[in-house]
Amino acid sequence: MSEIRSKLKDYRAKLDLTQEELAQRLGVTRQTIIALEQARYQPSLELAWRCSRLFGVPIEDVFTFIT
Amino acid sequence: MFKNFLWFSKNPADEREAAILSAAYQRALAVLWVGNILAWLYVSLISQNSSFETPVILNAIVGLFVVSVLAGWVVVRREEMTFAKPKTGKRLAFLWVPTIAAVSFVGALALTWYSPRLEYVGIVGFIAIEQVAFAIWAWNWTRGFTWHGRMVGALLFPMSVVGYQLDRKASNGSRLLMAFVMHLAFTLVPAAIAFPFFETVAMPAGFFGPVAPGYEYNATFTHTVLDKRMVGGLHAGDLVMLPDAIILPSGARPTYGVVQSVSGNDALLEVLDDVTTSSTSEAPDRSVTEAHKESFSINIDGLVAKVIVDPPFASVLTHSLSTFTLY
Repeated sequence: MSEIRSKLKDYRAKLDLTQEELAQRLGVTRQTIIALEQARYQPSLELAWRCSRLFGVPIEDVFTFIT
Repeated sequence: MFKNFLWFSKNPADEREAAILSAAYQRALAVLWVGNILAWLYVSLISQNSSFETPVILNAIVGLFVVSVLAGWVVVRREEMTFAKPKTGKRLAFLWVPTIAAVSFVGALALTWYSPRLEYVGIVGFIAIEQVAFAIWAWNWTRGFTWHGRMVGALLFPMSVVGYQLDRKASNGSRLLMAFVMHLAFTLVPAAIAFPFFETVAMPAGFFGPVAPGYEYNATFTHTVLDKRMVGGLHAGDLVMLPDAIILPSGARPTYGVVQSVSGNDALLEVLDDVTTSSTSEAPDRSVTEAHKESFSINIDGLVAKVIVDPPFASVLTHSLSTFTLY
């Protein structure tokens, strides 16, 4: 099972978004944003891609999988 | 304390909640499957000679479903879930399948309470409705296939389709294994219900082939009077175990009686254990029958008694009763 590290919180702070606002932009719930920021949930490829598009950076900059 | 206890009736709001619900469904179905296998092992290996009346089977089904729901709840209960409202949810299957199963099961229970004679009908009806629900589920989940393929999947292998689609992120091998497991688990349960139905209701009632007395198909079972009536009625020669409350005019408290005749709801019984004469006959059961001294009529609707429907066992018991009385 691979472990995930997330920089979602940093990128969200750069855009000055709340968790609720980010959740609305990504089409998920606030609880999912919390789980992503705490690396308790591994996003699907689609969600990871949407995050990277929103922040304008590659996926691997936002999420890092450590096997 | 019981937050999200009805997890199976919820719709996921996003992919994380869908993944959690999927894991809960997998846990619940795994428990259902293991419980099913254990029940089969118990019935086939340990309790071959025990009697399984339909209330016991009903209770076992209820218990198994409750335990599986609890197993799924263990997965969900610590998670922060918001859930989508049913009108906006995209996966209504998460809602309507358990709803149909619950409604049909309550209907089966209601039928049983209404009349014990309908308990088999209720159980078989429940299984049938459940199978239809799964077939519709499988049909909806095979969009994109040809209609021939969808028909085969929905009608012949609905549980395989459901098992395969449960976790779309899993590897193909895991999904195929889950499909196989689901197929095994959910075809064994209807078979377990259908077999006693055919054996004790359909065949004795003449649905398939000639009418036959129930005891020919229930050699090792002990049935209640209502069961016995359901599978063809009391017959002359049946051995009946009587309740303690019966006291004959002579003051005797009989334990066993032999049915002499049945007229409507009244049965004429001869007392078995009021034997005072002995016999050296080679057929002890018949000799005891000849020795009966007291007969009485009883309304079998009010008779809470057991009917021993195993002719060989009845003979042995009759013989032992006569022996006990003689010495």
